[in-house]
Amino acid sequence: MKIKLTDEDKKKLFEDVRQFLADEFEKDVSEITKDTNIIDDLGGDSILFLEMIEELKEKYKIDLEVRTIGQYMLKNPIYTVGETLNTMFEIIEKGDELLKEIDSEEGEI
Amino acid sequence: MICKSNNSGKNIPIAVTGIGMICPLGITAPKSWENMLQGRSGIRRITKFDACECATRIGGQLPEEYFVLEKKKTSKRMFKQTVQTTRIIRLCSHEAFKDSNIALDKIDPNRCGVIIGTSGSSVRGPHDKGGHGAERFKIIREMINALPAWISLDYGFKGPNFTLSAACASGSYAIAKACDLIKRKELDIAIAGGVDTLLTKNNTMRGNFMKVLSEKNDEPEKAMRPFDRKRDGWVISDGGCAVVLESYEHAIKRNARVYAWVVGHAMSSECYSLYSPVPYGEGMVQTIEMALADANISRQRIGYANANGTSTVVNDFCETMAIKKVFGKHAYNMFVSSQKSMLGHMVGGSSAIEFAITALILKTQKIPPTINYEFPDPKCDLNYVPNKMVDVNDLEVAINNSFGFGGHNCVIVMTR
Repeated sequence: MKIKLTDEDKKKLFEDVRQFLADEFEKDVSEITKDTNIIDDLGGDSILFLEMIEELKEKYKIDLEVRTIGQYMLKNPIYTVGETLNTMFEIIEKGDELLKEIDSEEGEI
Repeated sequence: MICKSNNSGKNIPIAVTGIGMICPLGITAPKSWENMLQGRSGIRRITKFDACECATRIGGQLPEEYFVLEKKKTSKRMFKQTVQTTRIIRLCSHEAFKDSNIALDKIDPNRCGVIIGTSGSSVRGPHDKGGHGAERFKIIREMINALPAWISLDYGFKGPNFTLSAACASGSYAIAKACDLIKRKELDIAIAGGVDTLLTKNNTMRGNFMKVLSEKNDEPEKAMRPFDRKRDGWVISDGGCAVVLESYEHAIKRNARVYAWVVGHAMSSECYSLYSPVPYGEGMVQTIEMALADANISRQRIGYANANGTSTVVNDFCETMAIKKVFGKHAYNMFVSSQKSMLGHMVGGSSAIEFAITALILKTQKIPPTINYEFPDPKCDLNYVPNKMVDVNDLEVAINNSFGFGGHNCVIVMTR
């Protein structure tokens, strides 16, 4: 099932992501911007994104396997909070379609 | 089988230039050392878990201030991704590196390594829940190679990085292997050490089953009594120690403050029993002799032996016999002491702490006592530095003995 996020949804998601990162790294929310680099600026790691998805899965009705999201991320690496948000939008809006995209790309190989 | 050190750089000493320590007697090396010189015991009634079902209800818990330090120095995210074993050795390594006064921007990270010894307590820490979300990190949290891996991440060290396990001798093995890598010119600098957090209900009950733990619950401070006639085993403690080791050239070039020099070592397997030494300490004899040969130092020059001294009837007798067999009459001129009398047994952490204490003894010419030595055992008749520290002024060479379950022996020779 496809979901179309409104600007309001996206704004809310940005706030959720900022809050998650602020809690995780014991920072003030105001320090987290779209340009913040998760590894260099926050001391994060590659598992952080998957962990965040686990936390937000229920709230945003994400029913994709984390493994699938991991496969998607291998092709679309993320470094900044802005890139994180864009990936979150893709995952929520495309849902199962994302899986098909990955499958078709693998088929091309 | 005896394995001599890989001494391709024969007789080139390795400098000990930094020490970090967390143990029941303190959360820094200076504080722990001061308490040891005063002959204080870190053994108390266990409050970490409900020990009422255990025959042994005493242990060496970390001081309360450790948990304040741990919280201050560990991010929320790191708490989720680490167990306490990792956090202890990480904090020890920070103290040791700071103590060494090495400037990070003046060293080649490719020539710096980390080797940590542990019996594997990171894999089984029932008191170490880690908080919300920690379960997702179980693999990363509990893999025993995480211990040196975090330290290398902290400092950007890109040289050899691994964990090794040799029971009670794990810390010594780690230090000895680090010295080998420096001698082989693969490293300029190594952080090495040992750590364990084995004070749990399960381990205490298992230790009671094997009859290796003291059951002197009424007087916790007097439970550990190495070489004393009334000794009845050891108590489990938590803690660890890291040291900074440097090649001779590196230490001299930067005019480093050197605690002591490592001049030789030997590692061996007794191939006899998983929990008993070879009768009369024959395996210990071989290891001490090989270490002295590796150092190319005559027996008469050894003034101090940091004993494995576990407070078990068998170890202390065998170790005494071994020292007497190796050193002959000279054994009676030597000082022999056991810090386990004050600290309990930190297993992988103990041998690293004892190595560091041996370095401090050589540097300061002060020898901490073996406490609770009250009833002489005619079979253990050496000078164990009973109950009060001694000042010396001519101690030039010392050995550090470590003998572990599984028959893992390691002896390290150090000079002033």
